[in-house]
Amino acid sequence: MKHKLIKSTLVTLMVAAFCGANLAAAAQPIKLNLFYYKQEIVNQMKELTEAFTKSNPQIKIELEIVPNDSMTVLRTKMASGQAPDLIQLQSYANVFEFAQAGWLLDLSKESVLNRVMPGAKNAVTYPTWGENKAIRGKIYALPMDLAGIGIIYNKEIFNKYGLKPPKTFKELKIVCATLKQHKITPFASMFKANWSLGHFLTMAHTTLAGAKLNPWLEKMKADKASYADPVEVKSLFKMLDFYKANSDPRAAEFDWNEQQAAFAKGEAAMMVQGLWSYGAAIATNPKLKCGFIPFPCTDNVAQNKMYADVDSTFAISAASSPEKIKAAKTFLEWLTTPEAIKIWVEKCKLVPTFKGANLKAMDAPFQDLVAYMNRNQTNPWAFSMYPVTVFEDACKNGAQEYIFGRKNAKQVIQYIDQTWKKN
Amino acid sequence: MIAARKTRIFYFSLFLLPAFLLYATFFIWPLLMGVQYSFTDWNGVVPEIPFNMSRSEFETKVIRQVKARAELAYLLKYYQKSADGQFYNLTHWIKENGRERQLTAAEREKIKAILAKVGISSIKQIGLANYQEMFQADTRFVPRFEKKFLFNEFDDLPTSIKRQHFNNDLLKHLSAREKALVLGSYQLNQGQNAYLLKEHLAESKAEELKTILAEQMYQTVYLPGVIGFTIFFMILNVLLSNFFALLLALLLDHKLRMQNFLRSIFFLPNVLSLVIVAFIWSFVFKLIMPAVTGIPLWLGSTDLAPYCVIIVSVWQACGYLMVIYLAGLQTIPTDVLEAAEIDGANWSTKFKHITWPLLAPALTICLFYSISNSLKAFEVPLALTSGGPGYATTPIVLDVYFNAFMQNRFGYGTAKAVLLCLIIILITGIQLTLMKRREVEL
Repeated sequence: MKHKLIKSTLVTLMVAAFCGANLAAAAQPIKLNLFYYKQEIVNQMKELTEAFTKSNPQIKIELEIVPNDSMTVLRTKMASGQAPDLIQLQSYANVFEFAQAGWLLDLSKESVLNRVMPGAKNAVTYPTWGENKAIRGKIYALPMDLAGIGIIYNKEIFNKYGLKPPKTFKELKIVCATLKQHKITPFASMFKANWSLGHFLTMAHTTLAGAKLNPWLEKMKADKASYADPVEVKSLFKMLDFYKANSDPRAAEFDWNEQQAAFAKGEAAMMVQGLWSYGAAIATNPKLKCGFIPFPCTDNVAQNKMYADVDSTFAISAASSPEKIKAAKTFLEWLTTPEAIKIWVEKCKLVPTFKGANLKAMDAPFQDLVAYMNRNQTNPWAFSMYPVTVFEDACKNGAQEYIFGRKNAKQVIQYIDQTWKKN
Repeated sequence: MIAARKTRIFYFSLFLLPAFLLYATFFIWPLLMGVQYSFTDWNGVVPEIPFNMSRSEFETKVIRQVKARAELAYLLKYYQKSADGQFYNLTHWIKENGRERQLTAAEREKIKAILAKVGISSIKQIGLANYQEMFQADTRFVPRFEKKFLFNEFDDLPTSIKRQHFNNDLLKHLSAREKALVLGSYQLNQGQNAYLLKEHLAESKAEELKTILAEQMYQTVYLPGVIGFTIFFMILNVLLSNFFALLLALLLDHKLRMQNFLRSIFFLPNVLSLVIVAFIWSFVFKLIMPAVTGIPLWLGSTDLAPYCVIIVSVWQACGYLMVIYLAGLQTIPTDVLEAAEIDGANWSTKFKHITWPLLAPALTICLFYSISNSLKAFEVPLALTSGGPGYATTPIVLDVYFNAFMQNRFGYGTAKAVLLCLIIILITGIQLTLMKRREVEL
C-alpha cells in the first residue's frame, strides 16, 4: 500500500512539473518587449519608457539590453520564436537583413515617418539593389539618432601648442608633427579589436571616393568593379600607415577602454572615433573640452566631409500579435513628441533625426556635428551598405592585418573583392 | 533483492526512458541538426519558412505547383494576401474561438514540408562547399607561409639595416634597377656588419626608396592559422598543465604543514570566473611583465601572445588536474611503498616503479580532460586577446563564433564546429584506447 502511494506521488509530481508552466496566464495590460544594444543609455532608456507609461498607462515596456553581441542574441531569439516586439537595430545592413528575412513590419505608410528628416530615411529604406525585389523602397524602421565618425580632439592641448583643427591632410601632418615634438601622442588608437580600424578604412575609402561612391556601389553590387576602383590604392593605405605611425606603439594591445583612458587623461590629443565615444571620455574626465571634425583624407577642404549617418533605429517585429503591434506603433509615435525628444537629447545625449528638434542643450562636439549636417557636408556610412560579411570580415580584419604587417595593400583589396563576390 | 519484472518496467519507464529521451533531444538531435546545417549557407537570420512572398511568385510557384487540394487549402489558411494585394504574408497569429494564438511548431513544420515538396525553402543546400572552402579558400584556417612586411611607408628610412636582413629580406626580392638604387643609398659598413643609410639623400630618391622598401622588404613567415594554433595550444597546454599539476600533487601528497590550505590555494584559480582571470592577467602582461622583463609588448605581439594565452590556461587548469592526481595518489596503498622502502628503494625508483604505473587511471582521466578542454578553448583567448593580434590566438571555437555570429555565416561556422567535433572524438578516442591498454590493475 505504502509502495503504491510513493509511486502515485512520483507520477503526480512529474505530471505536475510538466504541466505547471502552462497554468499561469491571466489578462493584464499590454506588455511590450524592447530589445536594445546601446550600452551608454541604460538608465536613460528606463527613464524614457517610464515617461511613456505615464502617458500611456495601458502599455508597459519591458527593457532588455544586450550590449555586446546583440545581433547574436537577437538572431537566436528570432530563430526560437521569441522575437522581441520592439527592436533597436543599427541602420542600413542590419535593418535590411532582417527586413529581407521578413522579420520586420512595413512602416512605409505610418504617419510617424513624416516627422523624420528626409535625409535620414535612406538608412531604413530597403534599397533599389536589394535582393528581394518585392520590398524595394519600403521603410522598415524609425531612424532614431545621428552619429558621426571623425576626429574628436582635445581643445586644451590644441590651444596650448597654438594648433588649429586641421582642415586638410597637409595640416593634419603638421599638427601630428608638432604634437610629437611635444611628446604627446597624436592619436589615441585601438588596434586590439578590429572594428575601429574597419571604420577607419571605410571612412578613408568613402572620403577619397567622393562623388564616385554611388556609381561605384551600384557597379559593385553587380559584381563589375573592385574595391580599388573609386580610389587610388596608395593614398587609401597611406592613411592607415599615417594613422599607425602617429599612434601609441602599444596600440596593438589597446581596446576601447584604453583608448578612452588615453584620450581622457590627455596623453593623446585626438582620437578617431564615433561621437558615441565622447560620452565615455567626458565621464572619465568631466573637465575635458572637445571638438569634432572630419578626418581630412585629402588636401581639398570641400572633399573632407563628415562621415555621418543614422546610427540606431527602432523597428517592430512582424511576428508580434496585432494588439502588440498597435501598442508598439503608439510608442514610436510618442518618441517624436517634444517630451520624448527632450529626454533623448538631454539625458541620452543623442542627436535626434526628427524635424525641428531643439538641440541647444547639447555639448560642443554635437553642435559641430549638427553644423556639418546643416551645411550638408556629410558622407553616408558606406560600410553599412556593403554586404555584412564584407564589412565585418574583409574590411575589419583586412585593415587590422594590414596594420600588423600580415597583408599588404594589394592583398587586402583582393580579399575584400573576393568576399564581395561570394555575396 | 531482485526487483519484480513489473517494478523494473515501472522504473524503466519512469526514469530511464525519460533519460534516453532527454539524451536524444539534447544531444543526438542537435548534433544531427548541426550536420544538416553544415551543408547549407544559412546566415542565421532567414526563417525556415518564408514570411512573405510576392503575389506573382506565390501564385506561380506555390498555388499552381501544389497538387493536393488539402495541402493547398492548408497553406492558404496561413498565407493571406496583404491589404495592397502585392504580397502573401504568413499569419503569425491565428484567431481561434475568439482568442488569438501564435502558430505552433507543428504547424510551421507542416508548412515547411508542403513548401519543400514544391522546391521552396529559405535555406539553400550547398553540399560540401563549406568543407571545401575551409581548406582551400579560407586563408586563416589552415597553416601556410606568407609575407610579413618590415617597413611602413610613413616611417623614416631606417638608418642602418643588419647585413643579414639586408641580403635576405630585401636584396633577394629586387630587380636590377631597384638593386642599383638601393645599393646606391645604403653602404656596407664592415665594422658594424650592417648597411648604413648615406646622408643627404635627395627628396625624390628618398621617396622612391621608401616605396621600394615598403613593398619589397619582407620576410616569409609561417602562419599557423586557426588549426595550427589550436594544435599548438593543445600540445603545450596538455603537457605543461599535466606536468605542473602532477608536480603540485606529489608535493602536496606529503604531510606538509598547511597542506589543506595550500591545496585550496592551488585550486582557487579554477573557481574564479574566467573573465576575472583574464582581467588580472592582462594587467600582469600590460604593466608588470614589461617592467620586469623589459619587453614592452606581450599581448600585442604576434609572437608572444600565444604563449601568454598558454600561461593563463595552464595556471587555470593546474588546480583541477592536481585534485585528480591527488585522488589518484591516495589510492596507492602505503604497504607497497613501505615494502619498497624497506628493500632500499630510493625516491626515484619508488616513483618510477610504483607511483607512476599505479597513477595510470588518473593520468588517463587528466589527459582526456585536458585534451578535450584545450581543443574547445574559448573563454581565455576571447577575454585575454579576443583572438588577436590579427588571428594569432584564435582557436577553432572562437573562429566558429566569429564566422557564425560576427560574419553571419551560420552554415559555415557549423561546418567548422562539426569538423571540430570529429577531431575531438578522434583524438580522445585514440588517447583513451592507447592508455587503457597500459593501465595496471592492482
